[in-house]
Amino acid sequence: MNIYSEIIKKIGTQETAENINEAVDILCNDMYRLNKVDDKLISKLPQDDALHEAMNELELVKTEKTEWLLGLKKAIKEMRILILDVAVRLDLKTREDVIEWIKRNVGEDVVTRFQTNPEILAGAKIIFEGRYYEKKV
Amino acid sequence: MDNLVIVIILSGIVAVLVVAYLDLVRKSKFMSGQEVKAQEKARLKSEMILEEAKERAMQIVREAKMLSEDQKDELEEQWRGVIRKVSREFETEAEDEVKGFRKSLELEAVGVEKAVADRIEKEFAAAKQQIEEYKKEKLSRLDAEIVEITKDAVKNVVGKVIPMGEHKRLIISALEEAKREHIL
Repeated sequence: MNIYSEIIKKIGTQETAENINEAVDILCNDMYRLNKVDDKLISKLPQDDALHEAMNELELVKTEKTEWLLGLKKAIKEMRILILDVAVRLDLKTREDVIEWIKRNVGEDVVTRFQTNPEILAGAKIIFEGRYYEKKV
Repeated sequence: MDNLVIVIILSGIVAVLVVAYLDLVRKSKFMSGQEVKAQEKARLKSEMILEEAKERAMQIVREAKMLSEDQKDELEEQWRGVIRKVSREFETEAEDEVKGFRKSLELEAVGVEKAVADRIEKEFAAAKQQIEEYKKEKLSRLDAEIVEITKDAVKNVVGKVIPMGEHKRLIISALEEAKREHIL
């Protein structure tokens, strides 16, 4: 089991993955310069479940925090991307339900990129690992 | 007879005296020539000595002059050497000074850079936090607005409202079919 799996499963969208990557960069920089993580800085990072989980786990890491952060960055980079073209911008609840379905049925290492497509009235167009499928109105 | 003898004797004496006198005169004349010759000789010799002394003096002066030129060159060379040495020492010292100054400047620059970086980072984090809050607020407003606009647009196109629940059902349905088709 991957040591980052609890964090990875909480990263639902590509946007969240990018935010965490940025946060990891900032924290790594902090580690290089100060050899510790600035608590004030953590409090200023975007509030997100996955990032929160990452920070909790980082606190438990006693040595080589930078290595741990770089490992997390690598794990995030290796996540697979599912592009989902939909008709409208989905509300948060609907997005969470769709992400939850994808995580359960496709894989916890999958992040979703939601895109609104004016050609679609309802349904979805799916692109995943070079394959394509659509069911739309 | 006696008188004759006396006259003869006296004549003889006079003759002797005359001869002696003449000899004396002749000797005297001879001595005077000798003296002049000696004087002339001495004069010539002294002139020669003087000439030699003069020549020697000139030689000494020439040598002294040449020596002076040589010494001047040597002195100049020594002086140049001293200047070169002092110049090199000064150059080395100046280089050391510059190096020291550069090092301290670099250290100072690193300190300033770190302080600026810290400041920028803090400002950046604060700005990011504000943007994040603003973004969230805007997104929640947009969510609400977009749902309404989309509802209206879809209603216009398909003549009926597609609720969000129906969108979700259709999306999940598309995902399920994609899974069955081994797309996922």
